[in-house]
Formats: sequence, C-alpha cells, structure tokens
Amino acid sequence: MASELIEALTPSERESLERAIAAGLAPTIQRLPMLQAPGVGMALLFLGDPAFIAKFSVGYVEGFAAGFLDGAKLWRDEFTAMLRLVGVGTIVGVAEFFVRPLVESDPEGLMPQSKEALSRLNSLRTLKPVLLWLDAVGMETALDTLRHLIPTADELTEVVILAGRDWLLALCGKAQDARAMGTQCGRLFGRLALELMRGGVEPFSFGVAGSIENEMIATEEDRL
Amino acid sequence: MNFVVHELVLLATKTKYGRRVNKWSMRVFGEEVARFSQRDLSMEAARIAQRAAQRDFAESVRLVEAFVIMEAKDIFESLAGKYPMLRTYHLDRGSMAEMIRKVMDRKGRSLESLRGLLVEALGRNIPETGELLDAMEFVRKRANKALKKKWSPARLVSGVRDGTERELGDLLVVSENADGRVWIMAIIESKSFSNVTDLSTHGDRKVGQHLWDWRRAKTRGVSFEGRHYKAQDVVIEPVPAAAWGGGAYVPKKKSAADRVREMSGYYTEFIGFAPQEMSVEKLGNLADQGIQLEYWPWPFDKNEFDRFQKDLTAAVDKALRR
Repeated sequence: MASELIEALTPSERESLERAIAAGLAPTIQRLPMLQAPGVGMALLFLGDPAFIAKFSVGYVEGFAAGFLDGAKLWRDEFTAMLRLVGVGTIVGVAEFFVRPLVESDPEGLMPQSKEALSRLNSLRTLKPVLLWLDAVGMETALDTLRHLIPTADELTEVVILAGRDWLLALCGKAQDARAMGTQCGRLFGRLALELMRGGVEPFSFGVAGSIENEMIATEEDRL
Repeated sequence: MNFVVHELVLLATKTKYGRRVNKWSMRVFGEEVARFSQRDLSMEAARIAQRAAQRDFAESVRLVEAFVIMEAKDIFESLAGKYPMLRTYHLDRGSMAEMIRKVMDRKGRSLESLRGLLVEALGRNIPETGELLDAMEFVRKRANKALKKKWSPARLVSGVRDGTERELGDLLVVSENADGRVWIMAIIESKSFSNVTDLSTHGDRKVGQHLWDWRRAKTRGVSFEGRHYKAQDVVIEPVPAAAWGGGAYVPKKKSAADRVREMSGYYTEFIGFAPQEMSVEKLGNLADQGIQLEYWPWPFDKNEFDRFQKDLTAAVDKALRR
C-alpha cells in the first residue's frame, strides 16, 4: 500500500520529498545523542542503511495520508455532530440548513447574549464549502494535499529545529525500521497540515466534541 | 501525543510551511470561507494549537443553547393558546426564550428552576409590581428632594447575586446613587408550595429567606448587571415592623399611601409572592420573624400553573434531548 502511495507522486515530487528529508531531517538525526536509548536505534539505522531516506520517504507518504485523514475524519465527525446538536439532520436537514437561515436575522425580545448565540448558529452556514470538502475527503484528497505540501528542505528544517528533538525521540523511539519511522513522522505532518488548514478557516466560536478528540488521542497513543 | 500535536501546531504556525498550508487551505475552501475566517495564523497560534490538542466542548454547549432558545419561541406559541395566563401577564416569545436561557446557564440545568423563573416572570407583570414600583419611585424622588441626593429612578432587577455569587432574591427594586451606593428598596421572593416555608424558616431557626438576603447583602455586598457593590455600599434595612399598623405580618398588598408613609427612611420592603392556597398556619409563621413581611398571593390558579409548568418542562426537555 505504501509503495503504491508514493508512486502516486511524480518522480520530481518524490525527489523533492527525499531531498527535503535528507537535508532537513538527516542533520537532526545525526545530532541525536548516541547514548540515549530512544535515539540509538534511529541513528544507527540512518548511518548504516544507504536506503534510509528512500524507505523513510515511503513511510512518510503513507503516514502523511493517514494523519491527514485521521484529522479530517475527526473534523468531519465533529462538524456533523455539531450540526446534529443544533438540530440539523433531525428537524431541517443539512440541505435546508444551508439554504435558509434557521433564525431570524434580528430576533426581537432577546438579550444580547442570546442574539450572539443565535448569530453563531447562523454563521455555521458560511462553512458550507468546508462541509462539502469534508464530505468528499479521502485518499485522493490526502495525496493531492501532500503533493502541494511537500515541505522544502528549509521548511522541514525550520519545523524540526523549532520543535527540538524531544518529540522526534518520542516519535521514533519505538519504530523498528526506517519506513516505520517515516510513517510516524509523516503521520504527524499530515495531521499538522490538516490542523493548520482547520485552524485557518474554523471560527473559534465553534466548538467541537472533546470526547471524540480524547478517543483519537488514546488511539494515537496506542499506536506510539 | 496530545502534547506533541499541540507543540507542533503551535510552532508550525510561525513557519514558512505553516504559511504555505494556510494559502493552500484558502485555495481548497474558496474565497467565501477565506473572507469569513481570514486570520493571521501566527497571531492565533496559541489558540489554534490549543484547539488542535483539546477541543472546547463548552462552545458546543452554547450552540445547543442557541438551538433551544430558538425552540423556545415555538414552545411559547404552542403553549400560549392553551394557557391564557401567559398573555394576561404579558409573557411573550422573548421572555420565554430568556427564561430557558437562564435555566441552561445555571449549574446542572435543572428544569425545576423553571418554576421560580416562571413565577418571577409572571410576577413582573402583575398590577402589584407596577404599583410597588410607582410608590418606590415616589419615595425616591421625595428622598432626593428632602436630602438633596441623587438616587436614580427606581427600577426592577433580577439575577442579583451576593458577593459569593449566590442568588439573592428573585426580583428587586433598586435605585443607584452617583456616589457608588445602591439602595435596595424592595425584595420580592417567589415561592411555590414546596418551598414556601423558606419565607419563614431557615433550618430550625425562624429566620426566613428575606432576612438571609438582608444579612448576605450587608456582609457580602451584591452584584447585578455586571456591577458589584461592596457591603458598605449596599443600603438595605427592613421597614420597621411597627410601621405597619396591623403588626409584622401583612396579609395582603399595601396601598401606595401605606408604602409611602412607612418608607420614611432608607428602608426595604420584604415581599413574598406565593400561592393563594397557602394555609393560615403557614401565613401565621411569616409573622413570627419579627420583621414585616408582605404576602402577595398568586393571581393565577395553582392547578393551571402546575399543568403549564409540566407542559413547559416537557417541551424544553424534548428540545434538549433532540
């Protein structure tokens, strides 16, 4: 499956990814303290395997898609749960929700707090393109996003250096081979891309179900 | 893992990669969404990271609240035909919605508290309340003129709390002074059969709720409409029991002339708004506290009110569970 995914990239895209990983990630790996148990395996693998970057890249693509889709599924579940919470799908239906306002534009006799809450409800409608996108999101979307968001070497370096190496150790400490390490790293970057997309468009006033998030975190902890 | 997501998102928003993702998302979601939610990722990094790591359930709750407020309007229409007292006492869709919002704002969201809010809402619009307000306004003007003070017009307020955020009274008549003081001119406590004894006792002691309100206001201060008045700035003193010719217990509403006469200082009128079917014994207990307590009987039928409360609670409950 992973090899099929990476073949979805053009040779030049694949080359860009490998170059970025080699230039952005390798120095960090090389600087890992050899005496620290979590870093030893990774550093030894990197130093001893000439195909490390290629294998890591295969895993990265696989992980990116998985992380991206995990985040998208969470977002979609929360979005639709929120619509259900406000009655869409039970009394008016999603289509109708996006066609007409649920609430009068200026209801009379309400206090400012109530008007504000109603206005938030109505503004959900503005996110129609997001819901449509979430409805259609799948592997193809994930790969399309990956193609457009292959980090350049300096971008990758910037993120990795900023993040420091603790998370990297935590991330890769349990991985047994280069591809698994790539998968773990890619999963984080896929999730990261999705969260940045989400953070950029989702109004802060819209909540999402914490319980779903907690389930997701528990699942990811198991994976690690 | 949660921590890693938080850290990564926080850091990445400030990188070139973060900016590239942002541009990409604008392409994906289109200009309308971009215009609606355009923001500088790096400025909002902490919030975005926080949201990514742990979703904020409280906001969802507010959206549910918005939905139920909206439902409240329909609930009102469905009940208004069946219960004419709603229109008689000028309850409308807006006040119904506000009542439900208050229930949802309260801890535990107990629909039991609807009863108190209902009585309070109806109590605002009975003739007694209007007459009380007129009399207090007369007293206020008289005080300003005689003492050269600047007390603001008497008005009704609800949702008053003491300094520890506990509710204080259901409906109050207050007047504020430019010097930072508030004069509590009247406290109306709404009671039903189940808790009417609160008017006359607190545990084993014959100290009713009004006296507790008085004590809390005197020691903890009061807050309403976003402003807090320290204890020393709260003017509240029971009208002397002897001021009423008939003794401490006042079995029915006073006339405007009675009020104006007995409010000869910075006093406070204590009023209990309770079912008209209260027993003589319970009414008698009100007089044992040594303070003057006026009793306003509900002007509506208790059974009708009970049916209405039951129907309303069921309707709100249904909306909440949907």
